[in-house]
Amino acid sequence: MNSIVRCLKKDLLMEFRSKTAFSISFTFSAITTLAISLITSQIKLDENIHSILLWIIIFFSAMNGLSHIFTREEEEGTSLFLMLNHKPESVYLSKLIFNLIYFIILSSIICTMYLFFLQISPSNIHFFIISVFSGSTAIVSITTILGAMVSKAGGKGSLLTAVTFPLLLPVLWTSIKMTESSFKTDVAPYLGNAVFLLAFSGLVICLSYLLFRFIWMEV
Amino acid sequence: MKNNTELTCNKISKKYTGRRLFKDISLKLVNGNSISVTGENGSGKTTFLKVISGLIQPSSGDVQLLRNNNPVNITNFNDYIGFTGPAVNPYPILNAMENIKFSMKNFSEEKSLNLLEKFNLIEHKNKPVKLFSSGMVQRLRIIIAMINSPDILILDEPGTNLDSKGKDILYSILHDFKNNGILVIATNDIEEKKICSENLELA
Repeated sequence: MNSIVRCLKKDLLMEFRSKTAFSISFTFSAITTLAISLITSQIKLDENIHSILLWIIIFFSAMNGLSHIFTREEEEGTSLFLMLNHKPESVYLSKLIFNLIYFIILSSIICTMYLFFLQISPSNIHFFIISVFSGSTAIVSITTILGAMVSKAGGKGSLLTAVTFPLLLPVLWTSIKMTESSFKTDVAPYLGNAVFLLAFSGLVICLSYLLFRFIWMEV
Repeated sequence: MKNNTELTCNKISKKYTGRRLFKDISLKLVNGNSISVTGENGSGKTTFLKVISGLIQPSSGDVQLLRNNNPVNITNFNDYIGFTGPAVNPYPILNAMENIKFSMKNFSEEKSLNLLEKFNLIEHKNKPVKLFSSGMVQRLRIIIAMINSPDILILDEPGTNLDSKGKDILYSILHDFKNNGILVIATNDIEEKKICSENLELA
């Protein structure tokens, strides 16, 4: 536990000082949301289009920022230092917690900006929050472990997008459906999708925890 | 109470993409033993150190660590080994003290300041590592390797980038350490080799 806290503190401190991941993702999401709001200002979009656009922004913001936590270690040559001082399991859990904190903050900002600039409001705000939270958790769980694999393979963020997309398709599809129903007034919220997303995240996190050592350590 | 530590290598070999780095190395080290590992560039000195530290697996043979006659799982070797080398880079955006805090299992300010003082880094403790000279980074690497009072100290080219004053401090600390712990140094420097009582030459 002490090891996880020390790793997490280090990552938070480094992000707070450099603001690299956050500024990249925030700039991307702000520009995209503004561009969409300008382009669609004269058009009335359906709820499903709003939902798709929102998740496209969330998806690409995740791809821009979430792999950074591992690629930075490889780029700065600090992964051996981290490896020597902390067990792989602690490294994985601290990076996962960091990504969760970071992405939930980012998703909240993206959603607020989207709802404000596109001037829409969900009919069921609680269900909207649940859909964004469960979808973000699933995205983070997959992106964290794939980010580690990509960084160890010497790849950059662009490779992560290509590798992650097929795995995230069911997550994105489910999240889009949930968000869409939160915008509609005539559809009752169905929590089964949120349970699916959270169970999916739980499974990915458990498998990643068990396999991370083999990704992280040299053979 | 001092721990009884024993590091044993049984016929360890390492191959990388078909190229053999070293073959069938067996050795046993106990408290008070010190060994230098020498060899040409590319002979596998760093890889050997990584294998005995449990950082990478040997292609054949095995490495065992006994502590008070109890075997230590290879995944926990780092709890008892202090390792450093040119590839061990502290976080450049953090300062020296923050890097030490990150590495120290149970943080002790007194111990950290004591080591920083010994290595003449006390005035730079709040300076980001990216502003350090390469010699200062090397001093910090050695401090971090020693900060958790390891039973075994494994150093890869420890004198790299150190000035004569830095080398004097290092040698005096290593002389003290080798009396109670196990010291392994990969080096081609004659002075560093002299610190150790035995030598392993990698072909």
